[in-house]
Amino acid sequence: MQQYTIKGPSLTRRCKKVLVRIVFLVLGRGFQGASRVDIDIKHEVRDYFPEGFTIMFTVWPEGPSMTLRSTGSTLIYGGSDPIAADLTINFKNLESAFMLFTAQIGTPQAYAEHRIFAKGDLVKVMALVRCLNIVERYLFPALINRRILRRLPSMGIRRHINRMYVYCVAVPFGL
Amino acid sequence: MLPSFYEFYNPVKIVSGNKAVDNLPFELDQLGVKKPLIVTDKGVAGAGLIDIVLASLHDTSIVPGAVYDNTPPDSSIETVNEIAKLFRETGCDSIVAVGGGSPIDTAKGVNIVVTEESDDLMRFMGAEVLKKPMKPLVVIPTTSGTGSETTLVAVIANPEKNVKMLFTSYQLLPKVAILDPRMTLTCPPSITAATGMDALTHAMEAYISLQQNPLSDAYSLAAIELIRDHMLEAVTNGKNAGARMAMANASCMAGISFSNSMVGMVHGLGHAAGAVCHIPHGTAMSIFLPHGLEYNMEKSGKRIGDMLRVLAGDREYNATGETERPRKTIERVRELQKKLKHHANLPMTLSEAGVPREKLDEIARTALGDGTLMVNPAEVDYRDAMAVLESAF
Repeated sequence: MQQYTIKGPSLTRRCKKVLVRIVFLVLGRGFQGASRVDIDIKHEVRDYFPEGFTIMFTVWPEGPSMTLRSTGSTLIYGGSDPIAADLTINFKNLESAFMLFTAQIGTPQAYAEHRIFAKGDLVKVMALVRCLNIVERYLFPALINRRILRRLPSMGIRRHINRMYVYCVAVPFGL
Repeated sequence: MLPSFYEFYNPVKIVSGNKAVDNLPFELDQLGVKKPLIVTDKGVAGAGLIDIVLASLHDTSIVPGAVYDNTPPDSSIETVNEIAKLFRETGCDSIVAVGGGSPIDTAKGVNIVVTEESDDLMRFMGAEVLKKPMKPLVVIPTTSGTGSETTLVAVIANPEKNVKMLFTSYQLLPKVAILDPRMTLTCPPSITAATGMDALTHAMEAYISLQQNPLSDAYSLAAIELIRDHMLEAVTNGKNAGARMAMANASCMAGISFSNSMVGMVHGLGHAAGAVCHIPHGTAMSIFLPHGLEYNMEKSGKRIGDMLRVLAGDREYNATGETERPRKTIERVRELQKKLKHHANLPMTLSEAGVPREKLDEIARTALGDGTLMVNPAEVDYRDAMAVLESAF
């Protein structure tokens, strides 16, 4: 009988993994920056994520991962080392994470297709998704956001200024 | 059109028919258990339904470890922990839930706690996080609405935080659901009407959900058809065993559907209204259903219109233009509401249900934390929720 073995990851898969790592970094810094300047995210953090509350986005089972920690008023990017978080958003596989982070699908569709699963209080998951929608609004152009969000969060002058901060300071310098 | 990706899972054995409860000992034997804990409530026990269940065990080697009949109308963490303690103390090996949504969801909560050998149900909140195979759970519904006998969902109240917590896991699915008309014959018209509208809401919301798939669609449409033909008869002539059986099957099918295509904002608002103002779940569903359909019409008009065929029949469907069908579907739901108001005094508005206007804000805020909003076709924020609540008031 022919012997079958699990082959190592293909170049494509390795590239996708690198891209997911990069997006996690951008998203983590985006969350951090947006939570400092966006009033709606600040409210969500104040209402749902007490000081010390930890959040992890991870690709099941071995990562990549991205963590956030709440200060009670903002979210701080905690790096890529996995932790025992209070709330974990798991992607069932790398492909699902890749599809979401390359804006092929949005969070509601990923959830509806069982591509992600959450461990923790669902009320807080909903608050996190509302924050994610706003962060995505900052990070992606409207053309992409229209495909992945059911409704675009409004962009007033304040948010345009915030976006400049997220693009030019928060994401490149992690501030 | 097929969704780009979907999952469907329904391993529950359905035993449906006259005197089906008499199959309970055989089903328990097949599951290899001997000492079930029976979870029910005072209303069910008072109606003599537990006697039917216990009679079925006569002359068999199966002896219940205990019968817990103190389940409150809203299953809560305290009740779950109390029953889990009883389960352990009496050395039970399985659970038989007899009742409506509360005893069934309570039994699911107990199953989580005893399987995970924990005292803290809160640790297991979330979706698809439970992995251990659970104790065998057999469900005998005494209302036709929750569909909990075939769902992966348990809704447990957290009175401290005034919210209803959602647990979803394939492990929560019962092993067997027994549908016996004797178990619903004594259900009063008001509860028959409210639970029937709950079943209709499950079917309709699952059909327009972002999670909709061809298999859940088939169950939804079959359920709506049965409800169309039998609900009013079950409400006005409760002793009609055929109508009762049809409604039990409709509820079960709607349950299978929404277990695989999660419900949306009607349930989100209903859970919140239940948690904040304690209005019965079925009543809330009946009030919110037409408003929820209206709200989603822009995103899901086509699918709402499609349901007219089973809700009103082929003739009306064919006689109605495609653009008019969504409105017509909602009209049909409102007509049904009016009939149920007439026959069973089922409230049509939040004010009729005794909800004070000053509570709308809290209901809207609570609803935003409900996981069902994630699969609702249209986005729902605080202002949207308030607008729907105002129009339903």
